[in-house]
Amino acid sequence: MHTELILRLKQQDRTALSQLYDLYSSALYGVVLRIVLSPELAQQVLQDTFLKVWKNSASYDSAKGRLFTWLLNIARNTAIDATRTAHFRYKQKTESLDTLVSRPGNDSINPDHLGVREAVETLDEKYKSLIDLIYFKGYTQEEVAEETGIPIGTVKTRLRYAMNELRKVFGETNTVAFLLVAEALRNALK
Amino acid sequence: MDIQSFLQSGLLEAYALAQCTPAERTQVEEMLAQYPEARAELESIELALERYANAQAITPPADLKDRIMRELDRVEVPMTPPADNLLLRIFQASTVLLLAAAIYFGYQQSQTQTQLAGAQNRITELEKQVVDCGTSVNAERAIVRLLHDQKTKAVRMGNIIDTSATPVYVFHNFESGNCTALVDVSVLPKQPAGKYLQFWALVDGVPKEMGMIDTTSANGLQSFPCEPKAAGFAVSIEDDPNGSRKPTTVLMLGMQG
Repeated sequence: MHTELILRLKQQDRTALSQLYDLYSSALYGVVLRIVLSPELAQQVLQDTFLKVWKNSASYDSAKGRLFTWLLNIARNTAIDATRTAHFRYKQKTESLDTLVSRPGNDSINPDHLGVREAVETLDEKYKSLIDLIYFKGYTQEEVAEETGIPIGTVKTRLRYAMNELRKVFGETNTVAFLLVAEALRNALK
Repeated sequence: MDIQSFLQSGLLEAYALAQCTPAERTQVEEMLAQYPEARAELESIELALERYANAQAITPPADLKDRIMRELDRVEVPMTPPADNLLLRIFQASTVLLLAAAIYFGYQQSQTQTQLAGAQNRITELEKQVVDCGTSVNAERAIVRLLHDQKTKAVRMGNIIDTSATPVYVFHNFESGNCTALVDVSVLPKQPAGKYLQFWALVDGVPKEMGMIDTTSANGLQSFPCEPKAAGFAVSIEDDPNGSRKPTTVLMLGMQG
C-alpha cells in the first residue's frame, strides 16, 4: 500500500504525481493503447488520465480499493470516451491491436516484462480474452455475450473460472509476483 | 448475507472488475467496512489483476511525463475536498439566510416601530378629542342646567338698526351658583370683513365690556362672565378686533323686564 504516496498526492505534491507516473504509466498505457488502438490518442488519453488523477485525488478512498484499481478505472473510462469521437472511428478501420503491439518503435512492448509475459501465455486464450474485454476494455458481461455470441450464463461461469486461474498465476505466492516486485523496484530506481 | 457466502458470491470479483450495479457496489462497500477478511480478499483479487496488467505493460514515449508535469500548472484544483466545500456552501447559504432574515426582521421591526409611533400619535390625538368632548359635554350640561333652572331669566335683545331682524336672547342667572350670561350668538347677523361684534352689560346706566362675540361658537351659544348688577345687555359693531372701551355702533339692545 502507498499510504504516504497517497497522502502526498492529496496534498497536491507534484513529486507524488511524478512517482505515481513512474509506478503505473506503463501498465496504464498498455491498457489504454489496447482500447484506443492509436499511439497518439493513447498518449493524449494517458495525459488526460494523470491530469484527472491530479485534480480529483481528494476523491480516492483507500477503503474502497487499491490505488491502481482507481487509476485503471479513470484511464479506462477516459479511453472509452476517446473512442466515441468521429476521428477515432475513422482510425479504427485502418489499424488493429496486432499491428500496433508488434510494430517496432517507442510503443513497443517493455522488454522488462518478457519474463512475466510467459506467465500470461500460460493462461488459456479464451479466459485471457474474456478478462481483457472486461478488465481492460470495460465491457459488461452482457456486452461480452453479445460481442462473442457466447450465452451470458457461460460468460459468467467462464469469468469465475478465469479469475481463479488468474489468481493462481498472479497470486501473491507465485514466482511471477517476485518478478513483478523486482521489476517495480527497477522502475522506481530508474 | 454471511461473510463466507459473500466471499464466494463473486461480488468481490465483479467489484474489482467494475462490473457491479450501484446496489451491489453499496452492498460490497458495506461488507468491506465491516469485515477485514472481505477487505483482504478484495486486496488479493485486485493485486492479481494489477500484476496481470503490469505483465502486459507498454512503456509510453519518454517525453510524455514532462508534457504531463508541465500541464499540471494549467489544471485548477479545488483547494478543499468536496465534503468541506459542501460544508462551506451550507455555511455560506446559512449566512445569506441569516442576513436575509436579519434584514427582513429589521425591516419588520422598523415598520412596526413606525406603526407604533403612528398609533401612539393617534392615541394622543384621540385622548385630546376625548378631553375636548368631555369639556364640550360639560359645557352643554352647564347650559342645560342653566336653562332648566327656575331662577334663570331671559332678556330679549332687539335689533335697533333693522327692527325686523331676529331677536337675540341672553339667558342669565345671577342668583344661583351658575352665575353666567349665555348669549344665543348663532342668530346674530354676519358682519363684513373688518367688522367685529362686542357684548356689553348695562350697569348703573353705563355699558360695561363683557368680551368679543365669536359667532363660530360650536353650539351657537356663548358664555360670558357673571355680572349680577346688569340691568340690560347690548351688542355693538366695532372696527377693532379686540373691541373698544365704549360701544361704537349699537346693534342689539335689551333690558330686564
